[in-house]
Amino acid sequence: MSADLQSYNRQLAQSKQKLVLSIVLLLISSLGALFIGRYPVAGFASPQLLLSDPLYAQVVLHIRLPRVVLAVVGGAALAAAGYVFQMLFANPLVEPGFLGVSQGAAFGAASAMVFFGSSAALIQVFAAVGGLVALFLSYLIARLLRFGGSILRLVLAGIAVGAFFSALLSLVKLAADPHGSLQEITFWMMGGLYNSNWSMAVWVVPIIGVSLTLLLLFRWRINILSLSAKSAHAVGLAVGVQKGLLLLCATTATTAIISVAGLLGWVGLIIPHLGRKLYGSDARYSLGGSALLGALFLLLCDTAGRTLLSSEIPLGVITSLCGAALFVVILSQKEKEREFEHSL
Amino acid sequence: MKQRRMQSLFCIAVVLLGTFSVFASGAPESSLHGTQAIDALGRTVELPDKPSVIAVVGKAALIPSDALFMFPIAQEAEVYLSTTDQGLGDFFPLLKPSITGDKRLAQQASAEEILALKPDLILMKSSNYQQLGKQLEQFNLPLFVMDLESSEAWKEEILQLGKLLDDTATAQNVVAELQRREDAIATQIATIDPNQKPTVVYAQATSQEGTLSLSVSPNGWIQQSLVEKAGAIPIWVDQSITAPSWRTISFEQLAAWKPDVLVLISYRQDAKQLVERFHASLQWQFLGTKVFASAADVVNYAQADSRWILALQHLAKTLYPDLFATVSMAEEVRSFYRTIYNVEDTDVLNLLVDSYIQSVN
Amino acid sequence: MNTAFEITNLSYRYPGSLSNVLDKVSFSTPDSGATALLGPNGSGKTTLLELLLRFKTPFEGAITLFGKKSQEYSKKSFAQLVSLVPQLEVSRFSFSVLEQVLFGRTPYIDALATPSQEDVEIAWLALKRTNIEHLAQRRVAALSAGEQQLALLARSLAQQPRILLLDEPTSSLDPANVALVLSLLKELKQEGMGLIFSTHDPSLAAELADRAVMLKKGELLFHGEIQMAMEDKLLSHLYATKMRTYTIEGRIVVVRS
Repeated sequence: MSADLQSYNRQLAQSKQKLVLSIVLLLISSLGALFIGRYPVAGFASPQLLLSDPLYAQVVLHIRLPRVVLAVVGGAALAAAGYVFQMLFANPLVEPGFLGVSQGAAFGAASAMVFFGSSAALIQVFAAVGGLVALFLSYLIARLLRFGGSILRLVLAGIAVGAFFSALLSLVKLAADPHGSLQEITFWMMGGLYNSNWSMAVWVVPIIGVSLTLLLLFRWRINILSLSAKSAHAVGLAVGVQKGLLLLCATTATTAIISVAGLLGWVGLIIPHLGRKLYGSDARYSLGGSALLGALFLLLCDTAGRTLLSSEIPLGVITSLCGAALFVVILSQKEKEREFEHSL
Repeated sequence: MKQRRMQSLFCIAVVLLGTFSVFASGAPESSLHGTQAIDALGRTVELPDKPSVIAVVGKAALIPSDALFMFPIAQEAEVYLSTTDQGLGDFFPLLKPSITGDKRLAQQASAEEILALKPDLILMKSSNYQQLGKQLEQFNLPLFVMDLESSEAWKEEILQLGKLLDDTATAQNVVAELQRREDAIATQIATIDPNQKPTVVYAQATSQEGTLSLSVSPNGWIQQSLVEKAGAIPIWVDQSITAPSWRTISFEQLAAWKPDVLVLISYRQDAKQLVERFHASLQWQFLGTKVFASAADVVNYAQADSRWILALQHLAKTLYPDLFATVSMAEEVRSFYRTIYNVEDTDVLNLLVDSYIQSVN
Repeated sequence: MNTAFEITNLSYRYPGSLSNVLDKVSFSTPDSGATALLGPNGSGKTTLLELLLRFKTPFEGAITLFGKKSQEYSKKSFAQLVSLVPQLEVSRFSFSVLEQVLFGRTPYIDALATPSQEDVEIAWLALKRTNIEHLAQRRVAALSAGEQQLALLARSLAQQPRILLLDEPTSSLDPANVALVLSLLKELKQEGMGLIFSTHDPSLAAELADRAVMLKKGELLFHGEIQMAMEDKLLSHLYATKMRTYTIEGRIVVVRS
């Protein structure tokens, strides 16, 4: 085996190690986050308090633990979905939010809340349907457009579809009871895990778990599907079917977390870039790596949002601030430092 | 090697979760002493002991806070109130000077933040129940939800609150006083010929970028019942519109109604200024409608608040000055705060009465 | 020599269109040896290659491969038989050359599996064959056009097909790389691989191909031995401009006159 081949294998081994380290880091952070909050004081309170203060144990178990679980699972879902969208559309500048998926899911969930009562299951289903319909529409409209390259067409179509569903959402808000569901919707649109509880987690965790597992199982093929349709076909893939299935999984994972945590933008756009930088371009490692990074990121943002001030800073606000800043940083990098090429 | 590491991590996680669940069994059962009452959502709330820390949390906290302060316990206990964003003044420091700064909670305060205060009793407006309420319920703390959206609700819920606070005497006094004032008006109104009743539009006025816009409240809200009890016809009520929110009305609509009287409400600024703007604006002038400012002191009266009775009294007197010639609103305001809120401090009383007078003159 | 592809009456038109881009084309290709697709721009060469690859579906006509109908092969088995070296296309993501070549191993990797060490070694051999193993860890996007084309060729070699389709394989190469690719393709031909390549350079066809297929505006102008194709009048008709063939040091060279 030649020297270069050895160095390739070494690189793969390094990526594996990074993944293991990331898992450990995530577990430790999750554990730590359980003991940070506003009770009994703002900040960290020792686990020893669990023995003397039963209220503390309840706070940890009923308020913090479901939040930590949802933040981790939700962050992984958003990042992995963003990663898959970027690969499948061969476009490093998309995320489900850009293609109207978030707005479609928002409209679906809001409709469920206002017109059909707030059963958690129903909201999930409506959100998923809304997201999928929006995705489908974006794809169709992009094919209709005769302006710009393929990336630009997608982004433009996504803007149109997103705006459409935002308008529909506003209509739903008009019909909502200001003392009931309207407040629910408004809070939820700002994006936050404020309302996390176990009855939500029970639905969200399995759905995201299954979707992410499927995506990870297909990680090699995701690489291939980022090539041109002709090349992917040439190595024997049923391109349309495979892309459809993977987009379905990615969208379901996204809508699952959106339906409980509202609109959380930018995570799906930025984290995959960091993931590819850290773990390489090969989806065999960077898909899982991005999911772990996303989980860590959302956990940090959520813990900060519920600890820094006496009232919650909406999670969507924090992710947008961090995300937008990172976005500018990434785009101002020199071309050879970046991990993707431009050409709109 | 990696597998074994994963296994041991897993075991640690299981042990930790097991330890938590030991403590998740919940707070001790309530004692047999103590009080019990039914709140606005029909929940049975038990209070084991006299509360020494009371928190009124969430949005729209003004209204349950007003209810709480009718009872002497509000002065005795340590009280935390959410801030209100109605901007005519802050009522509570007038009653209890120690309520400032750190005793005011943010409207969005999280459950943890509230728990850190270690309250014995939590009050909230019903609109907060779905989210904050359900979260707090998990901790088996006495949580009393109040609605208080109509004059009937005020009387019933005050009685229940009195039961909870082990002070039914105060509750009954308050209800009796409210009833007395209501009856006094009703007897006079009964003498009016129904065909002579004036039409009234009770509208919220907001001024944005120089334009004045009006909106009316939904059917069944307290503004409608105020107008009816004051012996007038609430002409804006439209049975076919069921949207549960304030709706904007255009000049054309107002002209079509051609009400005899238009009363302007504002929750955040001085309504008199808006009345002047109204008079100054050419469009509205052509209506020939009489326009009044809705009464207020540090809080506007025309809402589902304890002061609704003052709004009623003021409106009745404005519509029928002859029938209520002997009634002095200044005195009514003064006696309201004295009897219902036990305010003895003459400076405070004068402040409130003067604010009222300014709002309508 | 056996027949690889047998094309009968093949026509293609774009969905919704009323005219054929490829019209009733019939010919066959041998299972070893090289066939050149010649024709001016827009004559349908790329479309024909895409039809052979099953990337497009014929409007009418039939394609058989090794005696079996082309559609009857599973995706996996077809990809193990036929590979396409496309015209220059680069991924937007920074895959390395080795990773790119490894993609060619996909037909031998199960749906949920990932490449094995053996796959990596085969990819590595493909890199060596195309003389670009020194570029293994470089980003594809940072290479020159010629190096990128070689990487695409290496990818197809890693796929270990019996038939190699090439879409204008030397168009973006400098003379040195053209020579390299040509000698590699000749070796492959001798090792028994069937080649079908499109080109707009008849001299290249003369040098590499045994047979020629000429397309003009979607119609078959000629198919047969390469020597018969290298004829002044035929070439002039094909390209609608005066062409002349010369024999220099035993090689046929075609130029505009």
